[in-house]
Amino acid sequence: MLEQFATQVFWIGLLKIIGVNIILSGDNAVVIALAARSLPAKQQKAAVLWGSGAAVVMRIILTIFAVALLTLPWLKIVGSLLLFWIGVKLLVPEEDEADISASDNMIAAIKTILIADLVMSIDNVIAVAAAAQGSLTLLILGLAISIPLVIFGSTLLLHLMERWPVIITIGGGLLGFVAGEMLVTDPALKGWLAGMGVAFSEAGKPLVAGGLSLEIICGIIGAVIVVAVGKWLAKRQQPESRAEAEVEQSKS
Amino acid sequence: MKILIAVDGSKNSLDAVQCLLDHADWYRGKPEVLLVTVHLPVPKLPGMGAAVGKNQIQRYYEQEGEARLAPAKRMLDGARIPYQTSVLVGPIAESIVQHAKAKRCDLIYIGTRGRTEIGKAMLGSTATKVLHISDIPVLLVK
Repeated sequence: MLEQFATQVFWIGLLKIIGVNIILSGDNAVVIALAARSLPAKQQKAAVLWGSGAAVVMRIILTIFAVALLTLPWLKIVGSLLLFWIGVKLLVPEEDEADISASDNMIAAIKTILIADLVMSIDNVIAVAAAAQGSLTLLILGLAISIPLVIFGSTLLLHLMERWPVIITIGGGLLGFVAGEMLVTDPALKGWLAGMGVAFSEAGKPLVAGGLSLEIICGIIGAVIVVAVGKWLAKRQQPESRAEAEVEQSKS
Repeated sequence: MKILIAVDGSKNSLDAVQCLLDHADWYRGKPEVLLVTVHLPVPKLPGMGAAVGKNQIQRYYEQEGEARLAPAKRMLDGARIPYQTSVLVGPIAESIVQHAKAKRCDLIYIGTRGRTEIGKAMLGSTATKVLHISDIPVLLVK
């Protein structure tokens, strides 16, 4: 257990989980920041606290399940395809904004935060589970560090994303990277890859000629595919769409 | 004389308002003032529609915008200069210029230093961009 902490692999893994989680939680942060706003100022903190607290517990349980599921053959392939899809969707701006009436009671706001978290964190759950590569210690530590950052920094994260929308593109690329990595480590592909001349390291990692990691190569390819497809779809959907709203008020 | 004055809530941007107050007697009669702030649009993310409605986002823009306008409003109130306020949503410089054009303003007042030094360094100054794209005379307040 203790020697686990000393290895480089451990720290890289931990940083990866924290990074993935923070970038991919941008969408959740937006919802938390906006949903809490419809409450009276006094209740805002409480709603964020309870809503996110419950969300954290839910997220950890879901991720642990995901880690267990990802050890089964074929499921990594399914998960990786799902991540590709989510990554591409992230880059295409959503067309329809529903007219949801803002809730001004606390239970409703907490419910909103929770539902949003459930719907929007499928990407995080799969990506974090993949990044953890089977280590529960890594997983829980990573989540425990990054989730509070996202919750308490939700307004800051929202402002950052407004100012630098490229953060969203980076998130999409990261999803593509994790998806590509995950795809080639599916146990079901091991035999096929070995037949293609891929060697495996002692830890069971696929290596191509020259000792390069096949995971990293596929990760980069995945990132490029997601960003390219996402950008292309976004461009096709509508050229240069920008929100043009205005709130006006006269006073003399 | 119709003047658009853009603020972002920072102390620096209020220098532009102060400049207008100091030189209000330059203009014949009281100038007609449009006090404007621009909010960058919230990113549109998949699934967001399930939790956050249009009017909620609208309210967010309004609240944030009002907070940024408040100090400038107090200054104008103090000087008894009538004004209209708007919170615009969109890219900052483009929105300012577009609004000034749409409202047929004669002059745009803008501070040269905005909210953050880092933002300035990374984005290039908003004021510079306004200067570049505007057909309307621009007054930069240093």
